[in-house]
Amino acid sequence: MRCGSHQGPSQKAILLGVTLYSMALPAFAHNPLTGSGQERVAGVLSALLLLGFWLMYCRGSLRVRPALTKALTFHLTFLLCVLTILGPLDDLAQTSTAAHMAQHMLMIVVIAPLWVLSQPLPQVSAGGARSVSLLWQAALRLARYPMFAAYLHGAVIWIWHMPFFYMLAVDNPWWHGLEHAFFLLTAGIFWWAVMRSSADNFPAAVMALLFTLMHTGFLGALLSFSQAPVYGESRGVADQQLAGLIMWVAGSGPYLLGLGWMLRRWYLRQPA
Amino acid sequence: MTDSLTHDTQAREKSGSLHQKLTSAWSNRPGWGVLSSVNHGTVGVWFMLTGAAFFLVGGVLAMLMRSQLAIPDNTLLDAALYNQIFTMHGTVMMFLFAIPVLEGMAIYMIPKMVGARDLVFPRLSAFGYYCYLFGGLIILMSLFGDMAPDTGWFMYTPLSSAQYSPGSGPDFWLLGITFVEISAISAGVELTVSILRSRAPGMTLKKMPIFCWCILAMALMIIFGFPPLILASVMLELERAAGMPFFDVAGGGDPLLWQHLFWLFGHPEVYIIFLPAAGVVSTLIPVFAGRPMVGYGWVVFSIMLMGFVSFSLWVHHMFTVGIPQFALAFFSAASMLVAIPTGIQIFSWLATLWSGRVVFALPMLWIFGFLVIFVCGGLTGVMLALVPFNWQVHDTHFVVAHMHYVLVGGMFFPLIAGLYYWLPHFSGRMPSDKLGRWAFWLTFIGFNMTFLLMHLTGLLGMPRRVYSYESGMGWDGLNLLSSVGGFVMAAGVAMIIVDVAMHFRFGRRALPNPWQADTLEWALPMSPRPYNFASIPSISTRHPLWHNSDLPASIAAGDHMLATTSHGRRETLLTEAGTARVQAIIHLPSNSWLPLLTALVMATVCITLLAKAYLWALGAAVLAAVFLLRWSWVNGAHPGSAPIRSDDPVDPPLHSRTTDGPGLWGMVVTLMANATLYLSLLFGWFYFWTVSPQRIVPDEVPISFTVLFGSGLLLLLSAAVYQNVVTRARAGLAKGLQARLLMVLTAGFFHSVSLVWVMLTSPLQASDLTHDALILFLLMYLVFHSVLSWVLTLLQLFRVKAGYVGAKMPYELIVVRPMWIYTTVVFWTGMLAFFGMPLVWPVSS
Repeated sequence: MRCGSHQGPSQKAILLGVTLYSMALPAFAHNPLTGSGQERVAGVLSALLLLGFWLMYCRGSLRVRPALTKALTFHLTFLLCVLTILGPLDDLAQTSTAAHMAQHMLMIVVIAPLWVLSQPLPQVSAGGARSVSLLWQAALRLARYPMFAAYLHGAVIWIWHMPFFYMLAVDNPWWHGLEHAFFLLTAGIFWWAVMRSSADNFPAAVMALLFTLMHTGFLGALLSFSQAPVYGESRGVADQQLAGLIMWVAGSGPYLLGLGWMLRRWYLRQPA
Repeated sequence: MTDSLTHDTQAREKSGSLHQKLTSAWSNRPGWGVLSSVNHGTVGVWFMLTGAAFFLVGGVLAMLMRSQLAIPDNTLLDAALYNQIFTMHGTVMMFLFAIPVLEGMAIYMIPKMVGARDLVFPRLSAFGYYCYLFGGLIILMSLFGDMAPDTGWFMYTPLSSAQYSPGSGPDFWLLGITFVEISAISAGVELTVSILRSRAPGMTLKKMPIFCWCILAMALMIIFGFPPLILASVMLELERAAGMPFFDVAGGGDPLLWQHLFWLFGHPEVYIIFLPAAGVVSTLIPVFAGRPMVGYGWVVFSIMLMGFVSFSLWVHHMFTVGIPQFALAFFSAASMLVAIPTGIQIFSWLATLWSGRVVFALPMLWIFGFLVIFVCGGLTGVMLALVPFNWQVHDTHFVVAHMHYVLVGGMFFPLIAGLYYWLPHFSGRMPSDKLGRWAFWLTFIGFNMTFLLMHLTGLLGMPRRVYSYESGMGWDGLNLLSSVGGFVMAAGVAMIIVDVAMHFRFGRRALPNPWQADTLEWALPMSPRPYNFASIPSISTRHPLWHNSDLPASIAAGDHMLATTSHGRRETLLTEAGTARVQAIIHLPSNSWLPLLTALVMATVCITLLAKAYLWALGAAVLAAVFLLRWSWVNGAHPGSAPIRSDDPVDPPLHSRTTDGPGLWGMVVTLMANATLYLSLLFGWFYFWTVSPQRIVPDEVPISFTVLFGSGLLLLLSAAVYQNVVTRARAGLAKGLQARLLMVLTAGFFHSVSLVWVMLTSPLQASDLTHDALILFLLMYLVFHSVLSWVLTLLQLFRVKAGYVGAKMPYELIVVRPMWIYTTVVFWTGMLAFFGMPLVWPVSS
């Protein structure tokens, strides 16, 4: 047997734990907001940033009224984002690679595409300062090139999974916050490029999605098959394998759904 | 009355002279000259005939196995020969029959279906064919020398590595298959670009026949699916021949990497085989049900989804290699996912049949056989996706039976259905219904007798790939029946061959469009002309022949586009990929010996490598490069291609006078295949760092990074100046073009030389350490691309001097541009991944 097949109940416990914890209310767990020192400051800052974004959207909604489903999507995704960044997963991520991966994947393949789906820009620009909307403009310019967005996003994912940077983010809440910002921002650009591609860009958008599906699959596969802990001895191999599988198998679900969504959108817009 | 009569006569005369002129431009050369043909019709038929011949070889091998297994303790074959035979049976059927014959069918059908006169890269069609032929013959040769590969068609390491397979069997396999795969990639590139860019005006993607969607998906899957296997084959051959330990634990490698790379190819390959066959089914069912396909959009959707899903799930072929237990549950569940797109297609077919008036003609009988067998194969597939069951029957005859249900049911039956369907189109005659029905029932009954029973043999525990068995294990009767069934099926196949052969002489003349089909190929005269369409019609519906029955006559009369022939060029239309608006006229190359010569020299490379005559191989490789460069020289405004004439068309213009054309698309698609190979290499490198069980990382990498860094800067400079060349040429600025190209060449030269210097002088222990072997491989890959970009640019400089390229004709400069970008990107990502990454990768052990 190459990888011990006798991992027994501990994996199941982790698997179960990850699922349950991520559903539980943040109040049940020790979280960054109630943490101490640096961690607390970083947590509060993240919360404020998120809150600012949300307030901007709310303020903009008063001026430019969003469709109900889109507004609902936005608010629910916001809630999910708060739970992901400040909830129990963040705490678990300190010790469990799988929980950390679940946190990352939620941002990359759930929150980012949902926000893109909710098309929040009219509201955010209406509700925010001019300088903020300049930021959006820059991001959107990148989003015109799906392959470039995919390369950027891919580079960010791989770099943060190199052991050195990975541990940097685990050990230091500031780096962790920066990591999350990188993930969310590049994932947002990537999904925007892919899901809102123009007809001319469609082939490139499909390629970008395939490329991302494949390279996240590769990274997941490496973690699933590795028999030595990549991120320090204190983290179990089984935990790391589960992390790999979350990225590889569970992660491929949203990518395939995204593909279905964009295929449909493109097909309906094709000339008959 | 008299007026219309003269008009009619005039029209006939006009169309007569049109056909004459087109024929003189499009004919193959007579006699042996036919070997220089590049026409898709000719090459497609060659592909299919050669595929049929290999099928017969594979069939004979199967018969030998069934004879051996018919009775216990048989001594017909010994273990060594049996191993060779089952390996060769799988190899021949998969690589030399199933894929090429479908490629051949696509090469033959696609232009006729999309309303083009030829594929967009005719010389590439011929080259692909010869690569396939020679590669196949090289593999087959091994069988006669009693040195055939004997390690199973998937060549698992370490069994296939030099230590355990010291003979040259695996070398034949690795070199031959790589050669055949060059052919597959050529077909993939060519079909992709042809489908996207040469459809008749007005045939938007939504009006494209489903068959074309399937072939497009197949072609793209070849582009992304085959490179991992090519990489793995090259690596294993390097390990065997040069001792670079990529898959060897002793050097710090891992034999399982082979399995990953193999199934990265192997899993999509199942769909590469199935999708064209599904395309045949989707073509035939609406025709024989007499109604449009139900859920066209859904079927298109499922085809594309299937292509995607197949890339993410390669591991479910590796359930027993020691995957973590809970991982198995993930894969087992995910394996069910592919049932969704397959299900959509099957229900669309059923709904079409249900709601139409089905004519049970001979082709439909084979479709019926397909539905039954393929659905059964799918169900045993679901059983195999369940891990405990998978472990139980792993490597038994149950798996063999499942695989044959899927492949024979999913590929062979639709193929024969297509054969019978398109036969009148090719020969103008109908096959014999009686003989055809006999052939079907014999094949169907024989197949089920062989393989339905084989499920039981497998469940009773008989392992596959074992040359004999003792009596009294409960396998005797089943095996005997399976063998009898095998011979019944062989009789059925023989009858198909007899039927097809006889129909050319005895078949009754077919009526025009005998099946009342809707697609464009039936608008051509039966036994089509080499140029297909005398004039290219505009398409306004998904079923052109159902809605416009005059189409065949008006096409032949030259009433549509491209009916001008005074220039004597071979031409077809370049249309926009989505909307199919006309953009330009593609001028196509005529008959050429270059494809045959290049393939012959490349076969020489293979054979000299097998004989370990490396200097000769190097010489032959250089000669192959010379031929390829000559090939690209005879292009554009070259006198042998489309020299500038006073009557050059202006609206639409010739493609080589524009800034967009099939060559540019071909370049990009080829680079996508190349990028897949590169990503697989990166995967191998990261695999080494994370998964290899006994990784050995040397203390330092003995490479001069200063030189490497400087070399990379020079490359950046070359690429940037080249970019500037293209921008200026696009703007029509002729001044300084040659000087800038010279600058690109100078910087590129020093870049290449310094890179080669690093590669040759670094004391890497490539024959001892996987780590160093991988680095050396990367350096070789980079050198290859740098030199290639440089040589292509040099060629452009010569072409500028010769007046074929310039500020007024910047097309070729634009075609080379992606090459420079690619070379730069692989260089710097290679640097980051291979030399930057270890800095942030603390080694724990």
